[in-house]
Amino acid sequence: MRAYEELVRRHREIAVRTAYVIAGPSEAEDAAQEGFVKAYRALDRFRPGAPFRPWLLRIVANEARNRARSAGRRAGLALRAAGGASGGGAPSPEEAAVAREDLSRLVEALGDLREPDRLAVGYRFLLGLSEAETAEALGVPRGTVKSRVSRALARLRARMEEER
Amino acid sequence: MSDLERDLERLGHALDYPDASGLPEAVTARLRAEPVPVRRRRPLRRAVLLAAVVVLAVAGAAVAARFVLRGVFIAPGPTPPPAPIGESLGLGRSVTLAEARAEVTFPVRLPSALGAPDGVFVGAGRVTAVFDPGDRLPRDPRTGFGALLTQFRADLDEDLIVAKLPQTGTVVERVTVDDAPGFWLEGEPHAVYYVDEEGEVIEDTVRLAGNVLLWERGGVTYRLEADLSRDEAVAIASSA
Repeated sequence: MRAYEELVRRHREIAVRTAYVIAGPSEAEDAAQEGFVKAYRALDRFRPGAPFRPWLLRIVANEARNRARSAGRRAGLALRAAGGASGGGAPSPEEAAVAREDLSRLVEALGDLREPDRLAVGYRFLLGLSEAETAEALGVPRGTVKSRVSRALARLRARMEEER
Repeated sequence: MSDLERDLERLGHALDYPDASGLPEAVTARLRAEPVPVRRRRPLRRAVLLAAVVVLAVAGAAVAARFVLRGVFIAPGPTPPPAPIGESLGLGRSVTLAEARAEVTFPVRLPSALGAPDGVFVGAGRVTAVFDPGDRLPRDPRTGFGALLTQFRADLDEDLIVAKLPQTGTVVERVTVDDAPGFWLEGEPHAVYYVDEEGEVIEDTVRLAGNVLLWERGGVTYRLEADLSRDEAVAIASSA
């Protein structure tokens, strides 16, 4: 079991973040934990040689989705408290405020996407998964990822522009 | 990459993610506390993952191990290995010992206790020497051979972690081979998995393993598979 604990350690960040993007702050940790427990019990169905991360994320995402549905809530993502954001350099307070404003609007726009689109764009850009990994994690062909991402980007772009 | 995509990436870094630091211990506690529902027994060849061995493998070995070994298998022993395991022994190409030594970047070591190998295979950075059954070496019903010794470049981390999944009869024991750290795996057939630096799960081989002794010396991992007792296996390993 210590081996599995090591696996959890290596994938905990991405798992919690995935759950957070889908289910929001209140359910993220529980969903990730439940996902890891379920993944462990399903290890004999894991195809060795296949990448572990997307397989795991698919289980975590399912769990997060179910929890979000039964809670009847949307994700409700939140930005880190001012100053807590990572990134090099120290922007001026004005720059930082403008940047935060933009990001907040982006969070809102994301919240209005259909879930499959939000998840595709979330995996690709928020969580930095490759297209192939995203396809694995979503259980859809790569072409579907492409089309969801481009549709999501178009909607986000339109939303961001109409508010300017 | 468009501005929007870049903004999304920035957003990815700026979100207020919950703290994940306690997750590993929390998951382990859950797994210990909650009994696993009894599952139906699967046929042998449906390779249930019965034990997992985590090796913090060096990158090279991890890359090598990623290859699925699909070499044509030529049984040099008197008894062909049983199907389906024999079909999937996947040891690589049959070569001479000299050819194997020329092909890999680590010194190939053989236990003097077993004498000259009856076959040598090389594939994906791994060398496997096979030994026919003999007086002191019973035929391993799982492989059809007396012994199989595989070696490949990988560190068995000092903190090599062995996990035993519930409801298995696999015994996992820490041993030393001379002074080298090792593990003895015995009991029900199990698949051995490594976890590489990226946290990917890599199957040690494409087949089930019976009694296995794993040890590491000088950045090379050795794996002796034979139907022997722990002490017999360690004695053979010590002569390598």
